[in-house]
Amino acid sequence: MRYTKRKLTSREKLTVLRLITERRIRMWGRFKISSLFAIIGTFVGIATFFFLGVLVQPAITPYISDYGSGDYFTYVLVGMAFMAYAGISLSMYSNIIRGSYWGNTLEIIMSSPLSFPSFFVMTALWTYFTATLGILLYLLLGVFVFGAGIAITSTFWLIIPLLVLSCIAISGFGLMSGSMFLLADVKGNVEPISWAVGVLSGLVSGVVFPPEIFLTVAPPLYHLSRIIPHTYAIDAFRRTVLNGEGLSNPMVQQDFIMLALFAMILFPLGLYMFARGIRKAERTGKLARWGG
Amino acid sequence: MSIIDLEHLTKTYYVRDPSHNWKTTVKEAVGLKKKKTLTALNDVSLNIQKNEIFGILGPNGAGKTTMLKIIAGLLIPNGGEATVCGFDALKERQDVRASCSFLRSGGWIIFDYKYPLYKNLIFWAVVMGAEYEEVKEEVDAVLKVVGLHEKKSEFPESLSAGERQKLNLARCLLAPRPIFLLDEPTVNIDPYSANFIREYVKNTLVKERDMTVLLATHNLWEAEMICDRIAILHQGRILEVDKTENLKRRFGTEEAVFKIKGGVRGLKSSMEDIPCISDVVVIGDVVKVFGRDLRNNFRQIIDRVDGYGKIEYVDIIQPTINDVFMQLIGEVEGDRE
Repeated sequence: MRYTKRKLTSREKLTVLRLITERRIRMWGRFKISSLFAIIGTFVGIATFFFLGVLVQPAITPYISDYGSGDYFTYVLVGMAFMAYAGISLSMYSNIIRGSYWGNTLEIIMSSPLSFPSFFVMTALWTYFTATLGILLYLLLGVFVFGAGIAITSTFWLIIPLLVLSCIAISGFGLMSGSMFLLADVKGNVEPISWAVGVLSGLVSGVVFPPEIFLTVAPPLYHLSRIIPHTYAIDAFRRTVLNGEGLSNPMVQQDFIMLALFAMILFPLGLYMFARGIRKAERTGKLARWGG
Repeated sequence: MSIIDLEHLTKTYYVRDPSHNWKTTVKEAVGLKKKKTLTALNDVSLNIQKNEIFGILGPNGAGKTTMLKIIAGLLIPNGGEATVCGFDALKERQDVRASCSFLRSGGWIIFDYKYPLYKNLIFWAVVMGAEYEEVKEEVDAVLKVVGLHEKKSEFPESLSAGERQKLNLARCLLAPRPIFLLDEPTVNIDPYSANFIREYVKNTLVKERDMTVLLATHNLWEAEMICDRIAILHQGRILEVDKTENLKRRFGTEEAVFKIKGGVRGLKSSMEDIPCISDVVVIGDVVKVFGRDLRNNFRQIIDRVDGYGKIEYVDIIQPTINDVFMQLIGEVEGDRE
């Protein structure tokens, strides 16, 4: 038997990815009942917005007429679909750190020739994959059961770079949130950064109603909506999916530029804080749940 | 050839007592209150040779696991230097980590409780850098070594505490690295399996595969059985480090037991001038002589005893590492009192 390698080749990394996926699929299969309930929950969630749409449609039409046919249900459906990805980017890092810490795998992963970023990417790929399945189900139910007006347009491909850019930008907050576990010893389920960004984005970024509503009711909240990437991402997402608008549209251009700026600032900052967190844990002996 | 070099290694932890609150945190932050610290390692210098089984013994909280973590590249010391396999443990931590397999007590928690044993092992071995095809071939052999072969398709949730520890050991065996750090490796394991594992470590890992093993344990008998050298650690300081036999010779007390037919009156005082003897205890017709290096001075002792009567029974009881440990720790604890 030979000693283990100090670095893994791309082929070996793919083997690890395959084993991680196999294990995850098996875990997934173990919780069939919860998967079933999740599907029922999705259905009920969509139905709730469908019926809410019937009620609020007349009042909200002036605010959302820029998006598709101005149908409130379709508007919310697209917003919620995006927020599923945003939620993952925000919470995934702290979830991985928390899970690794309580499951005592953080030290093992640190000792693995699989680099720490590779481990994150591999875990993230599965998480995004399952989220994509969930979103597809969400959209399919929305379109085929509740009649949402979503059609595949010529600019539909833009949602891929848009999602990547949005996920990178929001991952900046996610990494900061993950770093709090190690930097500030925030070991509970509620972490201040992801909580604040999650609550703020849910309220002001335009998931269930457009931020322009605040202009007349509470202007400070409108200004808050301009300092988080979610607002620009959701707007661009809707313009692309519902209007078929592409990069030639100035609004979409502006959204992309803002997202790129957020990504350039937040992601390196998140990485820096995360690295500081790991370094602190290495100094204090808190890579594992129990010291020594 | 030295594979691990520790020079003046120091590690302190920041300790929070139960009365710690936000006021204390603020005071500490602005420097009005000094942070309470615990010194886990205090100026530790050691070098461990390649292909050696090195034991680290010490009471709870002596700093054994801290030392292993620093060697494994998982903990940054406050001072001193550590070189592992030629890599600097401060600057080249990723290379240091890749040089060590670290078996921690309780490390079995990483296993997925509802995933077959052999699949769990393959998964972690590959994550740790072992070749997938090789691991698939080796997994059966390693499960045999730890005595879990018949349970290979079972789930970890059905294993006893000892079996989980065996599984944890199997994980390390499947992803071998030049240095094997064992923290209480046979805890909870039955004596038969534990013995088999010790033999495997000694004969296969060290002799055949050229590995170096660091063993941190409270099982002094186990350390005596397999370690070439032993360091005794107490309150973060190394009290002694030497070959196992040398430690016993230097710090252990031999005991010579005589049963004498005839009178023993005056025997005790007649032995006082023999330098190697520290004490003589007479109980009826049994005389117990304590001292160091009695075996080499045995002729002289026998001559004295023989003059008092007929020797019916004689035995020399050799000291154990347990005696050495008790002696050294006792001296420090005694000084403290």
